[in-house]
Amino acid sequence: MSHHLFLLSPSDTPLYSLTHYSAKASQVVPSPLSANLPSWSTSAFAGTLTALSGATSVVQASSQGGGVRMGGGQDPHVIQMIANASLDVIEEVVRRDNGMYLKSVDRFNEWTVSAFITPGNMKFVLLHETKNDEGIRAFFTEVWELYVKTMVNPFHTAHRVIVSTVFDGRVRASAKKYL
Amino acid sequence: MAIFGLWVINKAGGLVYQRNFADGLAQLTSNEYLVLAGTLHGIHAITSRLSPTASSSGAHVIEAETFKMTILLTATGTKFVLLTSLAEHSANALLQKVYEAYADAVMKNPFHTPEMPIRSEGFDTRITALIGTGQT
Amino acid sequence: MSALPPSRFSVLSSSSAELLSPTNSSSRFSLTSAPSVATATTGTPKPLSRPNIYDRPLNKTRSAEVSASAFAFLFSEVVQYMQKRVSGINDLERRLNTLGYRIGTRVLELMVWRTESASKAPKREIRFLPVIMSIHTNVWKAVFGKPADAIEKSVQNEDEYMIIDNEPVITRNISVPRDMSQLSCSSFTAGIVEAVLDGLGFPARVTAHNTPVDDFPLRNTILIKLDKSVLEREELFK
Repeated sequence: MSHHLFLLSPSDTPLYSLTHYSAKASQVVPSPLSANLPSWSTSAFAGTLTALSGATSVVQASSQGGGVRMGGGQDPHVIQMIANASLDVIEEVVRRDNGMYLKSVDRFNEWTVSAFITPGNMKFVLLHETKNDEGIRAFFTEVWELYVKTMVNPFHTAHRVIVSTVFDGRVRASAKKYL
Repeated sequence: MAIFGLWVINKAGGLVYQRNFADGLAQLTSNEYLVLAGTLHGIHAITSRLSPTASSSGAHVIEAETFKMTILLTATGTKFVLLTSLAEHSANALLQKVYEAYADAVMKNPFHTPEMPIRSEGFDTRITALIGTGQT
Repeated sequence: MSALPPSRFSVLSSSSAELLSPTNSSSRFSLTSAPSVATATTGTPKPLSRPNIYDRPLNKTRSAEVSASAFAFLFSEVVQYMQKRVSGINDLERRLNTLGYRIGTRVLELMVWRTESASKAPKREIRFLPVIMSIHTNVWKAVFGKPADAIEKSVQNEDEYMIIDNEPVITRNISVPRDMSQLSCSSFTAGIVEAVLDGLGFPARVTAHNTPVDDFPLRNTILIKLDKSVLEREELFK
């Protein structure tokens, strides 16, 4: 079970991203199918096609097996695409909804997208596969606090990539705790 | 009781601020004020070395028949000189307040250059509020 | 220690041992300083006593105050520093605005975090009027320790709003010379306001203007000229 977090600046530049494989998922076993697949079918192109077409074969096979999943909706660039595509929806909601935590604003195949918008219009986007509203809310709240702490650091320039290793460590710890 | 004038002398002996309040003393030209301030600076330097004990802040009050001048020396060598009537007792307290106004309105003003003549509206306003026409 | 200096020593001096002795003078001192710094950091590591910024609670300094004098001296130096590097009053104001903007983005995040983070469902402000009210009271209180004195809406232009401060804290000790009378150091404050508005999605051009009155010679007006998109967005809510 994986989660993908993106922190995006007001101009939609990614400042930080994290892929978290939840410990709460079923036991991780390398899928024999994906391991045996010929290399062309796991190529980036094939993955994008499967994801876009919504084809189920690869996705289903991997969702049962877990572990090293290739192709389908699990490719990094497909994940990024889904996150980016959800920005339009988020932008729309942000204009009329005054909540910071926007749970399940978008859906794409097996992915659900939740978001958190800070007052300074930073967007935290999380792609997840299962419903976990409370956990995600707690996770976002902690990331928000960490982000504010990053902001008040005089050596950090707003809307620049976040490189702090401590920040990274804290976000990972928080993801482990709640996701 | 009256306050006649206020001078601010920088640490090099230059007159950086001079203002008259109550009438009573003869008016001098600005050049004469400059010379007077420079002379006072020299006298003050000598008096500070006259002390039989180790250190001295130099002349504090110089009295004449009709007026006196009270001198406040700051840690950085700037001198505030207040010219008052003999009976004026508030000179020391007043000089402390002038010093405070100087710290606020002159030293915190980005448009003031240290050791240069004081041209700060804020300082003028504060001094006017403190001393006014010099009648106490 | 790097291998470079000894070879040069032997050329320059008849006795390299003398140069390396601890009693030697300044020339040796400057050469050895670099390696000694390296050993200090890599050698016996001292545990850092200062807490990491991520370990410090954000609410600890909530009611803390900064010395107004310390700030006045710092701000005075900032203005002097910039004044040497600008081509004119407009340039100076623009730079002060930029500096304020950087403060504003932080103030906004921190201020809202402090009020909303405890809530189960934290809220952002999405209407303009509550935002400007909040700038007038909350932002001013967070930054200057007192609310601003008035908000006005322009009669002629519906996209203009003004925030008025009778005694701006940051310009309290500043006397602008006559030949620069156009300058308003409150451009710094304007930058803060602009950042807060921008962050919340209300792009605007914010400028500062001296508007002295008899009772308040330092009175300042922050003029907010809203972007067209803001008015259109407000229309949608009606």
